[in-house]
Amino acid sequence: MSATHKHTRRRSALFITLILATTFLTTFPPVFLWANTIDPRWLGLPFAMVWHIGLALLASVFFAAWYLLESRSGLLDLQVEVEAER
Amino acid sequence: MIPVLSLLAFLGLILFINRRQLGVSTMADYATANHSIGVLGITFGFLATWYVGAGYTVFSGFAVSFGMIGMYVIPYGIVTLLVMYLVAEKTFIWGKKYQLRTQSELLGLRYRSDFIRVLTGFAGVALSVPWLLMEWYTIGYVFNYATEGYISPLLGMIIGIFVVVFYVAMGGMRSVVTANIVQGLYMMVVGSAVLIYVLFSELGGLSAAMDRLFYEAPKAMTFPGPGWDVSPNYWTAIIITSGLGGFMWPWVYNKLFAADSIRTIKQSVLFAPVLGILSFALLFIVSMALHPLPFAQENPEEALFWAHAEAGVWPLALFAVLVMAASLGTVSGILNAMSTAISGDIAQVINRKINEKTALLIARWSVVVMSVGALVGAYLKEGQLVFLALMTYQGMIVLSPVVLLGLYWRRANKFGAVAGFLLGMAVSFGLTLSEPAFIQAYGWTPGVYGFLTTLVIMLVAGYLRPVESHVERLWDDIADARGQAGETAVVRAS
Repeated sequence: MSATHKHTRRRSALFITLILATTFLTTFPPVFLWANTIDPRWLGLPFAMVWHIGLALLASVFFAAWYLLESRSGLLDLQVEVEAER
Repeated sequence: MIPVLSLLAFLGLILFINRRQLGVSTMADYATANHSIGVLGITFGFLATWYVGAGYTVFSGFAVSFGMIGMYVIPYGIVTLLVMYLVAEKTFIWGKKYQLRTQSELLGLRYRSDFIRVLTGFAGVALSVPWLLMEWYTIGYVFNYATEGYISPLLGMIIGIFVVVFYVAMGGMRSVVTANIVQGLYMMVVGSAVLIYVLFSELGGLSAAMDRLFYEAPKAMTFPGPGWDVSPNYWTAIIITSGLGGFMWPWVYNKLFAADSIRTIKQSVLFAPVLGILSFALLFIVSMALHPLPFAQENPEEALFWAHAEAGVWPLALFAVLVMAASLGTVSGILNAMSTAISGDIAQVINRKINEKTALLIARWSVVVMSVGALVGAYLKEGQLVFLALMTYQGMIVLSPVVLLGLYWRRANKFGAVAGFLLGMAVSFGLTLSEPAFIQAYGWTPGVYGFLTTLVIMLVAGYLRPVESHVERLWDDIADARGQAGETAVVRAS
């Protein structure tokens, strides 16, 4: 396995972990129940709702960072030759 | 009059923008638009298909009745998008190299098994039927409500069917995506604007609406909501089930084969969550805010329509078009995927002599037959549609280990996939139908048990057999494509 490929795998593992961490924080019952409160409210919204929206937006930031790093490494413009016509 | 004219104008617009897409002449173009769709088409194709019309009736009704629990859609959307990001590269590379058209064909290639192809193709069609029925019913309901009963639900469904069948059968994926762009843009821009208008005009704005909820029904602001006692595991289960199952629908997954590059798919993942989070959050905030109102509590599924009707004829018209747009987006995607599966994954596998021209004809007639069949089903069985549609997620999650392990684990093999899929389905639907006490007590949905069954069987089968030889070649395809990209990047850098 080449060094570049290892680096790519490590980077993917990092971002998968970060995104799954946001999901963990919204779904794992002890954490979810901790956040399942009305106060403190923001713009009238209960904290439970702010928690879920905020973590989803954080996950979006991780997606964006992952995409930008992959884009720089040229992994998003793969050329694929067609094997055979149907 | 204004609402019905708006609905008809929107249907006319969909046909008008598709007028140049109706001459599809090959099965590849019908199924995948010849891998030519850019980021706008994939983003809105994904959102318009995923966002069901019933979201504004049944699912918003869930939030009207129980409040915050409706927000489960947001974390589940993140899981679904992660799955989309993860499957993008291999699906695109194998899809383009081997000219694949469907998720089932991809699985048939990966596991080198026609049986898996037919099995998953059939399961995809069968599990999609309740959604098709529910969306047809929603289209009929929209016409009926918007015309104050003047147009019957049946006539409304027939009008909708005529338009969708025409552009899907004649234009295939190209027409579906073109329509999805208009539907998606309408949903995000006009749909969000009209929901904000109603939030301010009828409910006094965000803070006032939430204050009313806080003083009159504070339980609606947290899980599980008023009048419902359920384990917190239920929250975890519905997010995992929906999140992993959400991208397994063939009508969502197959959009990947239409993309023109991996960059396009991954860019779509960047736009989709932000657009989805904002619009879903808005929808559920308005729905929650309706909770304290007596009419909404008594008629939760009608609550959003009622609130928009109270706001005036134009808000009602714009909202009716919004629901119609969401339904058409889903229905067109389902019909395209189902007809492609019937033609390519079932008919052409059973009878290898069927050529591409005949396959296209089969696909087109499948659209017509399924639509008429679904019309009858939707008209006769509307009361059970919601239950059936939600139950199908318990089946779709079982497919996720077959897809994800197939793409990421070389040892995954067809024996594990077939046995795992069949037994997982049996466990999932067996528990759904028998409803043992522990399901309610512990909170995990039946799909979670089905998913674990499939996962364990595939892992065990994977270690019992050596890696199959064709798998190495498939992995080499990925390495070759990455290697060429690496060389190109080095040349660019130097």
